[in-house]
Amino acid sequence: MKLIEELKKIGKVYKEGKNEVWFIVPYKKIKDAVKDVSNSGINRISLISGYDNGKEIEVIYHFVKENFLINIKVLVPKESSEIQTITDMFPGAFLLEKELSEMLGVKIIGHPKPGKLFLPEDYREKPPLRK
Amino acid sequence: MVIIETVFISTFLSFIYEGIVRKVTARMQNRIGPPIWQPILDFIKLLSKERFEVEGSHHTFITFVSIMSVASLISTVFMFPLVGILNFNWNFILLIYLLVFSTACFIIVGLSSPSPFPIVGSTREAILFLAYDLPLIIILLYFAMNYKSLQLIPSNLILLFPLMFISFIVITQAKSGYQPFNISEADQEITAGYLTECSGFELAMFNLAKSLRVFVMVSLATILFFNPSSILMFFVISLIILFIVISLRVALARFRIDQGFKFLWVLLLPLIVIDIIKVMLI
Amino acid sequence: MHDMMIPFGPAHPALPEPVYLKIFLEGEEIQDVDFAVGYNHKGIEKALQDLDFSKSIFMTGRICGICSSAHSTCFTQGIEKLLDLEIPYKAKLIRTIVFELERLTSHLLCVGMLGHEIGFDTLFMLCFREREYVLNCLELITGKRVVHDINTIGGVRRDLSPEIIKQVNKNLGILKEKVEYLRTLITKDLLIKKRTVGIGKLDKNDVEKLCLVGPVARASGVPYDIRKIDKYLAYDDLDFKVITHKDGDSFARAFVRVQEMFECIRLSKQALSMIKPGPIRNKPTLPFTEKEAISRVEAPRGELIYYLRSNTTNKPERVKIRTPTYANLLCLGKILVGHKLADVPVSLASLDPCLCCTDRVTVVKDGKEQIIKMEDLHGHH
Repeated sequence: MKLIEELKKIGKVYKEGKNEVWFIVPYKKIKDAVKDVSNSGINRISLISGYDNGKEIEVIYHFVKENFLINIKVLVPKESSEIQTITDMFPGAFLLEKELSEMLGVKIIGHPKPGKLFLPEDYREKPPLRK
Repeated sequence: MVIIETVFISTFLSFIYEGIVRKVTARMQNRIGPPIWQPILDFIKLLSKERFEVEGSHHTFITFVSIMSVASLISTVFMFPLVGILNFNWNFILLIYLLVFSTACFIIVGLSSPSPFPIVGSTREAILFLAYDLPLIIILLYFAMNYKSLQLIPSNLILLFPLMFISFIVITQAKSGYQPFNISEADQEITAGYLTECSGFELAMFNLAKSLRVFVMVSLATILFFNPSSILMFFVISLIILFIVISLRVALARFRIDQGFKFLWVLLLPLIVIDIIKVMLI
Repeated sequence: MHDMMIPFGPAHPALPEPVYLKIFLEGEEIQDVDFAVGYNHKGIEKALQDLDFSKSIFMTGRICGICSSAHSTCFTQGIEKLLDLEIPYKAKLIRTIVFELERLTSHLLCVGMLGHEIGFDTLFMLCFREREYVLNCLELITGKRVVHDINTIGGVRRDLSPEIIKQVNKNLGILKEKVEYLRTLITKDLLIKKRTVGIGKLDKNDVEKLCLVGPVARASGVPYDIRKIDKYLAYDDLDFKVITHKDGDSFARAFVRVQEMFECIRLSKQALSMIKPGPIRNKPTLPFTEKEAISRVEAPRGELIYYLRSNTTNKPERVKIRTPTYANLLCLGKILVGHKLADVPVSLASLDPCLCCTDRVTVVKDGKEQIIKMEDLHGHH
């Protein structure tokens, strides 16, 4: 697929399966990767998963084109803990990014509605799913 | 005294009517349903419950209004022919006044509390009231002009005024708050409508007023259009009319307020006017 | 700007689920909607990290009462992907049957709730009466009516005997006529149409932009059904249609669900006829390795997606769940604004919200559980 060739220029494939491909892209290039996905006609994002592996936060964007899954992983350094929003290209990521920001403490720059949805407004302790 | 007997009998009968409504509704929905005397038990239980103080509403006033709603409906029972206490010539006018007053009590209680649910319920009832009460007043005034009192109505007016009878049934549905017109008490949208903030004694009184509404409207339908000569026939015909009301309640969904309003205006007035003109031409 | 703000929920007789909606009204027309979720925090994602895989299957089955086997099947499928384990064909068929029967109960409940919201209590009672047939079938197959713990790593836990198959077929035959009657009722009744046609319209662009899933998406003409796309379990060999409708209003959503009930009955009957004697479970080859997997199923409300990550122990490293109702929450603004207050329960019920699935996130600090009270969650307004 043309999109896979383009994404291979930005990051590298670390896993391939039947109908799925997993990329890992550098932190600074995530917006370009997402732009490539959006330009190739894919407009559905199903999931944004986050995981704290001790040193960094692994954020994976799972895009869907019918039966093919394109998973793009990016490592967010814990000190800065922020990432650009993708709601400008994928409005469906609105709630998914909110969950990421609340549960793992990753600040989403440019999110149209910052603020807590699940947790109480005055919650100041460590985000729940961090180690 | 006959007055106290009438009060008790009409209260008892209205509870039984409501019990019949609930039981038959349940049976039509393939359920078992509560026993027929359940509303009496509910009433007694509610009387023993505490009243919650709601900030911003005047408690004595609401209690007074609840008693007034019951009193106005029981007063209409005094005018029925078989009871025969009030024999004034202008008792149709008094009847209209008492029926309108009872609805006004419901609207007042909803507007008297600061929470949004009762206010929306009362405004809806007020809007619907404009649609169903005007035809009711027209029907009663027509009877007032031609027959002067409930005692003088000939039997079997149903044959002369079938369309008026149909619109009376629709008005009964609307006035008693049954489907498809239970818009002001739509518990899916506005909790309990105008009765949301009532509890204890006032809620018991208002529930009694609601049962009385059904009883009075069904009895009026029997008297106006059939005027039976014996008590047995009265009850048989009342129960048949009640059955029609229950069937409509079970088989239909609920209108939205604007749909209900339009439906009532478009349906009721033409039916009544057609019947009046038809009789005038005979 | 707005005359009045009506709070809907979290505890409201209209709502089948706890969600806090702030509806800004002018007269009876809705100008704006704001929502808050999170009233059913249960701490699932964190709790799943502390349990063995074999035990956590039972926990995922309890995330939601009405899509119980959807969650447990999706999770078990993910584990089987992590282990590269292939399950026997009979197990796939049994899982499919339980899945489809559960979809039937869920759709019947949704149509009943829709009837209840428009004041048509008789329709509600009818739907729940027909549900009894399906719940009896499920009890015969799995032993339980609501939460069916039928899955285990490598297959299913219970077999189907020929008597059970005969009884289930008989029940499905009776149910088919009842669902026919339901379809006639919904399409012919004037009042149902008056309350649902044109309410809460969503067109194809909205669905694709907001990434909506399930019958909500299919009612607007987008044929997004994971059963046809991924062909998981036994769906590759079974013959069924993806039901779509072009209108996208509340009536279309209800109609899509009623039509899907027919497809469920068809699928279950086909799967039942394909059952042959054989094994129901393959033993898993441990140990786990460091792997990631994505598992997707078509739950009754839409696409349910799980992200699993394992390490070398037999506890999951990370489980991330995205339920279909969470994805569909985004369209709340679009379907409510511009309509009257009386249409809010109808639109909400047509979405078929299942918020007990949606609120799974946790607040566990320092190993102690923190109970979040309603007043805390209301925040500052």
